[in-house]
Amino acid sequence: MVVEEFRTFTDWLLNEGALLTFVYIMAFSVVAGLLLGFIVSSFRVGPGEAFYSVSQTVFQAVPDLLQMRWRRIWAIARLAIKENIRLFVVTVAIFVLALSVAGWFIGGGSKYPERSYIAFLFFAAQVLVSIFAVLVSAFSLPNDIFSKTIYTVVTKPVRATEIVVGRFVGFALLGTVLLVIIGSLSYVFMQRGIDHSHELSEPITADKWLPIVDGFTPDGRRPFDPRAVYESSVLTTRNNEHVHRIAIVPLDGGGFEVVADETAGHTHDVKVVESDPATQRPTLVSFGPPRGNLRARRPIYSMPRGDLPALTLTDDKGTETRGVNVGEVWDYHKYIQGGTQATATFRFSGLSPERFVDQDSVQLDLNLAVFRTHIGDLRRRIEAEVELRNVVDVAETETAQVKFVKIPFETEEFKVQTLNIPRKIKNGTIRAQGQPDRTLQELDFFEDLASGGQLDLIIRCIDQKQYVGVARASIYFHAGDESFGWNYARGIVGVWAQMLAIVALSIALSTFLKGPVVLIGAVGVIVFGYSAKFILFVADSVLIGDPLKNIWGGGPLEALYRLVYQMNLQIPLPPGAGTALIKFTDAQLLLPGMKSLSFAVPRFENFNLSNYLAYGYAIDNQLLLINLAMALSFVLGMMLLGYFCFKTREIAAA
Amino acid sequence: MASATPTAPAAAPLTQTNVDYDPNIVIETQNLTKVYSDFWGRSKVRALKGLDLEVRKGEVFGLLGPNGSGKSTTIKLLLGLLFPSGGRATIFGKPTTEVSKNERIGYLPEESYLYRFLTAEETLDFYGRLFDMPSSVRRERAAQLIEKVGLKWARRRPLKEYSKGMTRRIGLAQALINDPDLVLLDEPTSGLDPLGTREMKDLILELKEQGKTVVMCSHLLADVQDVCDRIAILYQGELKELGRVDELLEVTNQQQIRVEGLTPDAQAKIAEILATSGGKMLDVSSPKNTLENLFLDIVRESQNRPGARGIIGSGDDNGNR
Ligand SMILES: Nc1ncnc2c1ncn2[C@@H]1O[C@H](COP(=O)(O)OP(=O)(O)O)[C@@H](O)[C@H]1O
Ligand SMILES: [Mg+2]
Repeated sequence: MVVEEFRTFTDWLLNEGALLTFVYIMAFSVVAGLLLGFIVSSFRVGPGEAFYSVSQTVFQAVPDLLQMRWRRIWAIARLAIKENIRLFVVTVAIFVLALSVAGWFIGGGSKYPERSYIAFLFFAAQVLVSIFAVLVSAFSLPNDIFSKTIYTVVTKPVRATEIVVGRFVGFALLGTVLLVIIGSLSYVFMQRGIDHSHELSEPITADKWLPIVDGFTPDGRRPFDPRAVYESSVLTTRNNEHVHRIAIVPLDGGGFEVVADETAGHTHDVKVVESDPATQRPTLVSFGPPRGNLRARRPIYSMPRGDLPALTLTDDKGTETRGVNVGEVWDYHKYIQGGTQATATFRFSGLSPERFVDQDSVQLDLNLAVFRTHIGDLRRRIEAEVELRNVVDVAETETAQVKFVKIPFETEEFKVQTLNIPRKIKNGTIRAQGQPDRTLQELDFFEDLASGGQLDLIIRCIDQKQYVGVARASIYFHAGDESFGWNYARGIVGVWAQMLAIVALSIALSTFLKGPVVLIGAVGVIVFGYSAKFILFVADSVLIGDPLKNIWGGGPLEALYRLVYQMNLQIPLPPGAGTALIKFTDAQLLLPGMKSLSFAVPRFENFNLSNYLAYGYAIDNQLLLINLAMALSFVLGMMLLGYFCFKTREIAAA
Repeated sequence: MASATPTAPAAAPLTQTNVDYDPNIVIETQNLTKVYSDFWGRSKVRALKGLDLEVRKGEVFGLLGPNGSGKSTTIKLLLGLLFPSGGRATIFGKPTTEVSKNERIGYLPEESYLYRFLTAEETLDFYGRLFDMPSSVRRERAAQLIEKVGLKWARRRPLKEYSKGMTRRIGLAQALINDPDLVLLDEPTSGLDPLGTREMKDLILELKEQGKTVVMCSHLLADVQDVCDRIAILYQGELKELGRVDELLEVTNQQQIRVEGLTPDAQAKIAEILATSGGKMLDVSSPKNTLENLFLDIVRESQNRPGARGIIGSGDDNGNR
């Protein structure tokens, strides 16, 4: 899974300037709004009168804010809920219907059905909740104005703030309940959907148990469990496109247990039903439900340390580099060349023992890419090495001991691969200045290597002419697992944040537009939010000429021109005044405008956290906080917009 | 009309922002004008032209005029539902856009614009909440008002099942939920049966009794004649007449005599008795024109000679001649 966000909430808020951007946008909107209001009403009633009404709007904003009463807000919220109860029920019904239809086709034929389930269910929840949110909030106020029911409301001591906020509270509540229902139904549906069991494909007789000798099976394989003493040659039945192996593992206190391997991201508990009286080996076993397919790994990623980035690479000569691009533009991995001095250094901090569930065996998860320049033996995996090294303060380089250990491993592509690092490592090296290296030292992972929580992790590729690809997210310490249900709830919170943003957006638009127009407008803003990243990309490419963000086709007007004339993106536009005008408008007006706007709209794709769930990672609380803050600040902005538009609206003139 | 207040305004308290505020004047408009414009700001309809009005505390004031004469426009301007294109209006000395004025106002729109999915009880409860009333007060007020407008039997039914008259009644109850000092009624009797009309009129008089100010507009002359102290007649957005109802309807160049106990003999001798100042004179007064005649006169005259007409019967305009 691609993780691109490693920031913490405070980082985002302060260092990345989110707070400043928010203040800017708010201040700018207020000033621009008042100015616009002044200009418009100047045309209608003259500047003197316009100034009077604008200043009145400003002065009345204070009591409108301070004299909000919860009882009035709640009255309007309740009304908003009552008004839409029927649509609510219909939406739930549609979802239930969608589930029953989806049950026929999701997950079938997939090795990882939970991924299809989560992707589908979150997509469905997102779409349904968003549509519901837009529908209820887009038509509410326009309907009230159209049917003139608003007359009896605004002639009561109700503030414009209360009308806008009350609706938000009502629809947000309705959306929340809808999301809770949809989320719970989805959860149950998914659990039932991925639940499966196996049987043995044929009965096991004693001779089908293959003894493990010197770590290998008779047919030369390594057993899936290093503790195994027998591995069965009989596999389980195929279910959900996968089969499991089983093995006999001796227990410490005598006796044994039967374990199933981890395939398709899960395993099963195995119960012995019958054993051969002579050999004691099981002849009949039964399988429990899948275990481990719904998980929430808590990763500790590398982090920048002071001025040093979280991940740096060196090239084949050992000098720092950006890594080798193996020619695939969209590959976010950076490659290091095998058999050379090329390395990738990951800097970790905060590796304190308390964060790890199992401190005696630290789990390091690797998700590496491999690029082969020659085919070699395809069955053989590329060999690589991970070095763990303590971090020595620059001031103490003379006196401090450098302690490190090198662990060779074989890369497994397309799979999260786990290296279990025992807390006590036997073959460590201690290096002090002016002394020969002391090798084969026993090092303690937390005390010697990750002392003070800091650790450098260096990846090398051993195989010559082969490349290993890394990205910041591809190596992390797997500190433990969180409950999947809790993680699922956090995923739903992401959708919830999106719902809030959409409700606020539609309400704001509905204070000055008619219902259907609000619908179109809201969809427009949402699409804009989804493409904000792309818009920034295009803007940087055209405006700054950033060579890394080189994009063909120019700005929006140029793109439109090319679209209409069906022009290839790489052919330059015909020279002339028209082209100049197009380029000028794009570069001076449209792109800067769109770029600024893209900061005022939430990046809606960030609200979908389902990938974390599908691939079994805990959703970072910091990320969730950022999402919530993003949504709430947008809600605040929209409430302000809605308030001003409604306040200055001549209600009976419609 | 702005100078109509007979005495100089009392020294204004410091908190009062409007130095001209006279607590006896509930509504004041000066040159109030409304031009409806379309989306592009082009003017479409001049609905109200330079209206000057004062409504005093405790009176029942009628806005009379044919359909489309600007009555509802005036009320909406007073409530801040519309913004004036020119001139000013104040209610309780506050600008009409001030929300807090609504604490003391009740408004019955031309049609009862209510939420059709609510029951009568829920409706009153909702509006009570908008006045920030605690639930016990809301329940009590709602029960009283439902009783008063005679809808107790239908109080649990959603308004979408109500007839026009019933809707009107619950609309009225809604307008009175806050026990307002000023009640603005837009065509209060429309949609009501004769009995309902009578009840509505009684209710208006009852409100007056309680010292409340009522402004109602109507095209139904009888309604206005029966309950209003003063009326303004609007025609095509212009104020045509303003004054006390009894004065407006007085015919000054005629007298009428009411006598009692006339025998057939005496009847024959009336002229003679009158001439000799004999008999018992019970009452000598001017006969009343009907409002209908006055109204039709004004309409006819306005059609012949457009423009504002001199206001008759102004007197001292203080309501106590
Ligand atoms: N929202 C509006 N837009 C345009 N014209 C309007 C609007 N409301 C009323 N008018 C016009 O203004 C005039 C006065 O209307 P109104 O005040 O409703 O009359 P009435 O005396 O019957 O209550 C009429 O000509 C009417 O057509
Ligand atoms: Mg009307």
